[in-house]
Amino acid sequence: MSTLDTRELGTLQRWQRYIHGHHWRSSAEEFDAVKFGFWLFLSTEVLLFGGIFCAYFIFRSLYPAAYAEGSQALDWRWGGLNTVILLISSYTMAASIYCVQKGLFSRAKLNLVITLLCGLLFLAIKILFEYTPKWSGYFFVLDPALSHHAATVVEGKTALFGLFQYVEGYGGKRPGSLFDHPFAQNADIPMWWSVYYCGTAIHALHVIIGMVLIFRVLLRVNKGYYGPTHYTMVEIVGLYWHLVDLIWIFLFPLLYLIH
Amino acid sequence: MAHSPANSAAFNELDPHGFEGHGQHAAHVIIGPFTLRLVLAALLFFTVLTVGLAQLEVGIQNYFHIVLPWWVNVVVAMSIATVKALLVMAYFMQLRYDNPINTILMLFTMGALALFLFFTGLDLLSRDVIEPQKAGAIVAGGTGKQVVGTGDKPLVVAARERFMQKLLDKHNGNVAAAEAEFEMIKADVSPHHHGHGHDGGHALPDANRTFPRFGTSGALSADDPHHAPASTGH
Amino acid sequence: MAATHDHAHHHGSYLEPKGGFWTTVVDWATTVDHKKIGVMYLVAILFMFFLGGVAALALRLELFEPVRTVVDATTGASKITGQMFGNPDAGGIGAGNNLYNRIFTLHGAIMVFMVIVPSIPASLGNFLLPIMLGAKDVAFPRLNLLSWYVYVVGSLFAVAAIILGGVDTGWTFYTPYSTTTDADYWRVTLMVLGAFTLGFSSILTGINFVVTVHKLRAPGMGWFDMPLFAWALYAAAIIQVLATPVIGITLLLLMFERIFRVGIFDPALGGDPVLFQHFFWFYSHPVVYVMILPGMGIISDVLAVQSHKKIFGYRAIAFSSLGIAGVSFIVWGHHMFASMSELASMVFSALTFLVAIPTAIKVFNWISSLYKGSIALNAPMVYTLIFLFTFSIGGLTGLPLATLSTDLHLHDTYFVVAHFHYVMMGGTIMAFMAGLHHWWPKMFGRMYNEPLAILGALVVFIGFNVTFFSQFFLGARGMPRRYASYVDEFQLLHQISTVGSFILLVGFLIHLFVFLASFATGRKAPANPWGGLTLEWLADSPPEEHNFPHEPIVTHGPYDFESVVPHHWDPSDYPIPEEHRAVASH
Repeated sequence: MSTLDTRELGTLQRWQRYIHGHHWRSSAEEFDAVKFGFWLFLSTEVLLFGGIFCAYFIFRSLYPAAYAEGSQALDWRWGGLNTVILLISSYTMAASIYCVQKGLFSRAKLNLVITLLCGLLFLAIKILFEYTPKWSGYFFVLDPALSHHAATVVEGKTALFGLFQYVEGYGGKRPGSLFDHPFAQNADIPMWWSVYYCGTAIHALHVIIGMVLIFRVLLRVNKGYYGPTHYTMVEIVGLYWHLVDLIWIFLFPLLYLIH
Repeated sequence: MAHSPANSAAFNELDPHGFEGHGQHAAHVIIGPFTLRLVLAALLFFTVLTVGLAQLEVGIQNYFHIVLPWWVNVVVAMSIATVKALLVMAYFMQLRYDNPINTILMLFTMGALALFLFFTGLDLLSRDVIEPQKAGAIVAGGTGKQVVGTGDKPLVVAARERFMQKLLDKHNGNVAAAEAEFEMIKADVSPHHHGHGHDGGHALPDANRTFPRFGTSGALSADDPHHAPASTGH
Repeated sequence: MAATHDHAHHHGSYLEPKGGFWTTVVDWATTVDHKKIGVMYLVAILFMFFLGGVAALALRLELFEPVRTVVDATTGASKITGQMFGNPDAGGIGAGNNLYNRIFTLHGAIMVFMVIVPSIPASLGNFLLPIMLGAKDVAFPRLNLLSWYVYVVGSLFAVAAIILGGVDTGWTFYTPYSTTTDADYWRVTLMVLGAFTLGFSSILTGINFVVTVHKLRAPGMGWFDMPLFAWALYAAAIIQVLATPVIGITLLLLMFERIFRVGIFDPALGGDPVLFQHFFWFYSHPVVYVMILPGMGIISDVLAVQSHKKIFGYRAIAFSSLGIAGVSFIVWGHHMFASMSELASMVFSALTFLVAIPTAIKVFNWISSLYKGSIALNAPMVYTLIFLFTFSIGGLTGLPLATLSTDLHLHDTYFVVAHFHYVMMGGTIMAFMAGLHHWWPKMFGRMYNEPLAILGALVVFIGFNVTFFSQFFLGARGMPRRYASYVDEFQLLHQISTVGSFILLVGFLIHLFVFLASFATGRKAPANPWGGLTLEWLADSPPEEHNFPHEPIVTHGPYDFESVVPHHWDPSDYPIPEEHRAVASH
C-alpha cells in the first residue's frame, strides 16, 4: 500500500499530520537529534552491561577451571538456538523499519509480530529449558534433554499440573550461597553461576523491556501513527532491540563456548 | 560594524533562521531487503563458525590430546563476536549511513569500558605479587573461613555432603548402596566429558588454593610468640 | 512545511500564573518548560542542602566533646532521635556509634546524590543552557520533566530509608558491611535503590544537555562562540552519560548480593569486596568532576562579566574542561590506595597528577582575566574570589593525597574530609552561590540586597575556613574520619571546627533572608543588570515563555567587551576604547 492509497481514503493518517517539536527547525533535525540522544542512552546500556563483563573478566581470570566446568554445564545448542532467534528478530525489526519507510504497513506489522514472537521464544527457551532445570531440577516435559536422564528421573514427582518433571541431582546450580548442586568438581563454581545468572537475568530483563516497546510500536503502526515521513519511534525501538541482540552476541560465546 | 565571531557556524545572511531548506542533517536512509538479508546470512554464518571452532577446539583436545593455550578460545570467539557486532551496528543500526558523531560516541563508550576492565584487572590480577621489601612480613595463607552455616567448608563440599546425607537417609544408613546411587546419578546428570585433560578426579581443591590469600605472619607484633619466617622466598 | 514563528511582541514572563491556584499547581507539575523545571530543581536542591546541613551540624555538635555526648543522651531530644534510629535506650557503645554512623551516612548521601551532583546542572544549567544557546528549550523537554520526577522518586526512597531508621554504611556503601549489615531490614536496599534512581535522573539530564549543545545553538553560534558555562555543562554531561551507568550496575549487584547472596563481593564465596570499590569509584570519581566542572563554568562567565573583560584563553579553558572530563576516567584508584595492589596503586598515583594540569590552566587563566579588568565587587564577584581562594586550597591539598606514600598516612583521616569539603563546598557551592546571585535577577526578575548579600558571603567565607582549615591539622595529626569520639588532644581543633560550622549556618541564613526578601521588596531587575554579552542578557528578566520573541542571531563572541556594547546598556557610561567604538551591539 503506498502513500497514495491511504490518502485516497479521504482522511490524513496521523503520520501525515505529524508536526515536529516547536523548538526544532525541521522534522529532519528533530529526527537526527532524537537518534543522537538515543545513541547516548545506548551507550549507558553498554556501560551497564560493562560491569557484568568486568566481573566476568575478573572471575574468569581468577578461576579458569571453575569457569570451564561451569560452561560445560550449559547446553550450547540452546544458546546457539537463542542466538539464531535473536539474529532473526533483529533482521525482522530492521525489515519492519524498511516497510514503514516504504508505507508497506501490513508487512511492517507482520515483521514486528515475528520480532515479538522471537523475543517470546527466546525467553521461553531461557526460562523453561535453561533456568528452571538448573535452578530446581525440574525439567519441562517437552525438553529433549529429558530423555538423557531416564535413569535419574523421579517418577511421579512433577510440578505445575505435570508440566515439569523432577530429575534427581541435576538442580541446585544456583548463584553464590544458594548453591546446592552435589556433583560440582571445582570449589569456585558458585562464582560462575553468580555471573551467569546476573548477566543473563539482566539481559532477559532488557529483552522484556524491548518487547514492551515493540508491542507499543506495533499498536501505533496499526493506528497509523508512523509512516514514510515520520517513523522516528520505530527506528529508536529498533536500535534498542539491536542493542539487546548485540549484548547476547557477546554473552553467548563468553558463557557457552569456554572449554 | 559588529566584530565577527571566531568560528561561526555557516548561516545564510539572507535566511538566518533557516526557514528555507533543512540545514545539515543525514538524508533519510532506507536500507533495502537485499542488504538486510545479506547481513543476516553473514551473521548466521559467523554464528555457525564460532560454534564450529569451539567444537573443533574440544575435538583437538580429545582426539589429538593437544591442549591449546587458554587465550586461543577467547581471542577467536571475541574476534568473531566483534565482527558480528560490527555488522549489526553498521547495517541494522545504520551507523554506516548515519552522522559520524554516533560512531564516535560508541568508540568513546568502548574506550571507557576498556579503561574500566584494564585498570580493574591491573589491580585484581596483580594481587599475588609480593614486593621483596615486604616479603618478611607477609605470608601466603588465609583465614580458611567459609560460608556461615557450612561449618567452614567450601559450598560445593557442603552441597555434596547434604546430598549424601539425603541418600543415606533414603537407604536407611546403608553406605554402600548410598554411594552406588550417588555414582549412578552423577554419571547421569554430569555433562559428558570424554576425559578432558584437566581436573580429573583428584582431591577437591579448596578455596585457599585456588585464590591467592595473604595474611600477616605476626612478625609485625612485638610480643607475638611466632617469630618472623625467613626473609626470602615467597 | 515552514516552521511556525513566534509573534514579534513580548509575551508574559514564565512566572506568570495561568489561572487559579490549582491551575497553577497543575501547570507546574506538568510543565515541559526548562525554566520551571530548573526552578523546581532549585527549590528541592536548596531544601536538601538544608537537610544535609542540619545533619552536619548534629555531627559537629557531637564532636565538640571528645566522648560521645549528643548521640548517647538519655534525656531530651537526643533520646527521641536515638529511639527513632533503633536503639531502645540510646546508650551503650554500639548504640551511640550506630546513631552517629547513621547521621554521617545521611549527610554524605544527601549531599552527594541529592545536592551537589544535580546542584548546578539541574537548576542553573536547566534554566540557562537553552537561553544561552538561543534556543526555546532543551532538546528533549519531556525527558527533562521525567528526570525531575525520577529525582523526586529517588529522593523519596532515600528519605524513606532515613525515616525507617537510617543506614550506617557511609555514603560509599562499602562491602562486606553493606551486604551483611541490617539483614532483617530493607533500609540499606531502599537507600541503595534511591541512589540507583537518582542516577537515572542524572543520565537523562546529561543526555539532554549533550544533544542541546550539539543541535540547538542559534545561527551564528559556532562551538567557540558558546559561553564557557555551556562548555562546562557539556563536559559534565558527557561524564554523566558515560560514568553513571556503572554506579547503576554496582548498586544493582549490591542489591542482588543482599537479597540473593550471589557472592560477587563476598570473599567466602570466592568474590572480592575490593571489586565493589573499583565498581563504585569508577563512577564516583568522575562524578566529582560533574560536580566541579559546571561550577568552573560559572566562574568563567561570572568573572568575565563582572570584570568587564574578555576571558583570557577561551579555547584553553574550553579544552581543559574536556581534558578534565577525559582524565577523570583513569584516576579512580586514588580512593583505594589502602586496598589495592602496589602495582595498581603506583599507576593510579602517577595518573592522578595529570588531572592537576587542566585544572591549573583554568585557575591561571581566571587570574589573568582579572588583571586590568574593571572589577565590580558585588556578591557574584565576591563569591568568585572566594572560589579562587578555597578551590585552590582544595586542589593543592589533593596533591599529598595523590602522592601514594603520603596518602597511606592521610587515608581515612580528617585531611581527606577537609580536602573534599574545600573542593566540593569551597568549589561547587561557592560557585553555585556566585551563579545564583549573578543570574538571580534574570531568573526571578528581582534584584537582591547587595550589601546584605556581600555580608552573607563574608560570613560564609569566615565560617567555611574556620570549619575546615582546622580539619587539615586534625587529619595530619592522625584524627580518623567517621569517628564519634576521639582522644583529648584533638579537642581544641574540633571545637574550633564546630564553632566555624555554626558561623556557616549564620551565613547561609543571611542568604536565605536576602533571597526571600528580594521576592518581597527587591527592585525590579532590568534585562541586563551586569552588562553581559551572552544571549541570556538579551532575554527579559524574567524570560518569557519561549525565552525570546524571535530566534536571536549571534554576530559577536561571548566576551567581546572591548568592542561590543552590551544590549540594554547606555554607551555613554560604558568604557569602550576609542578604536573599538561600536555603533550597535547586534
